[in-house]
Amino acid sequence: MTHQDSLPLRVLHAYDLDARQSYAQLSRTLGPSRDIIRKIINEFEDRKTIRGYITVIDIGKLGFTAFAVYARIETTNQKKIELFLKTLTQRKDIY
Amino acid sequence: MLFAIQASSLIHFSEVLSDIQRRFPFITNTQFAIRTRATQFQRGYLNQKGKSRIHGGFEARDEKIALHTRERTIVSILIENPKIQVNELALKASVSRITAQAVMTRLKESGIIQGCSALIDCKSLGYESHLILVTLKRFDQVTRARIRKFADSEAGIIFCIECIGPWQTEFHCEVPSQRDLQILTRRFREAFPAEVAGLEVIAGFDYYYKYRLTI
Repeated sequence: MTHQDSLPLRVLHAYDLDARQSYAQLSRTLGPSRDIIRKIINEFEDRKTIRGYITVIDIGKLGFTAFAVYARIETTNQKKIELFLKTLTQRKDIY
Repeated sequence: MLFAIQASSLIHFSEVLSDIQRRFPFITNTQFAIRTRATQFQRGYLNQKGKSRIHGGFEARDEKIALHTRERTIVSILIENPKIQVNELALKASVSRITAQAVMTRLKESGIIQGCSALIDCKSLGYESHLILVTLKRFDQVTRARIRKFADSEAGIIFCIECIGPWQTEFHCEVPSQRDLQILTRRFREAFPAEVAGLEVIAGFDYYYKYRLTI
């Protein structure tokens, strides 16, 4: 997948814009059949090029503010770091 | 490392941060900035045809839109399962398909839901992700608009976030190499010679892909 205008990259580009598009919609826009589109997306998901999906929400409209926190980790204890990261990923108010 | 806390107030934010600091005392030199505006750009390198602003990101506001219980339920379901089909969404929210579709349309029209995006790991495509924190001498409306325009013109920038704090702009970048990152930062310095006070680059920034907001 080195060719910059290959079909898989065009599919990924379309998904970057709107990941709720159906295979049928992508097929109509890009040309190939739904089965081919499905196969390409499944491959991206299996290879973890697509790691998941997010619903993009304007949190400002819901009255929330985002605070970016920049911190240094001063430990080399991998278990402590893993616990820290696990805690961050489990909290719903941190992303 | 950099992480973001979604809070309803400064007090709420302080409580969350204090809790983390208390539990993990090895977190030091903590600095924070209020993100006032974020703009997401599509990855131009995927189609080589330039890029444009997508999804809009978010903007801090004084006024908030109050959601009804039904809308809140649907937003929560969409956060948990961004690609859920309308039929299933309706089932989970205990509403008809027509109602679920109507609520989704209303949430989109009001700008609360801005879209659904794939979390793409650029490394598997041969790109590196980096984070640039920019400190500016002045950060007026004109400078902000110029910086957004700069971000829009640079294929490597996928997020431009305006902040209030020790740094005023975050660029989230995806470029083929460190050299491309250097070129990008040099272009930025050249474009804003009188405004840039400092640049901090977190090279090889690794995302922990997670976007689980709570409403």
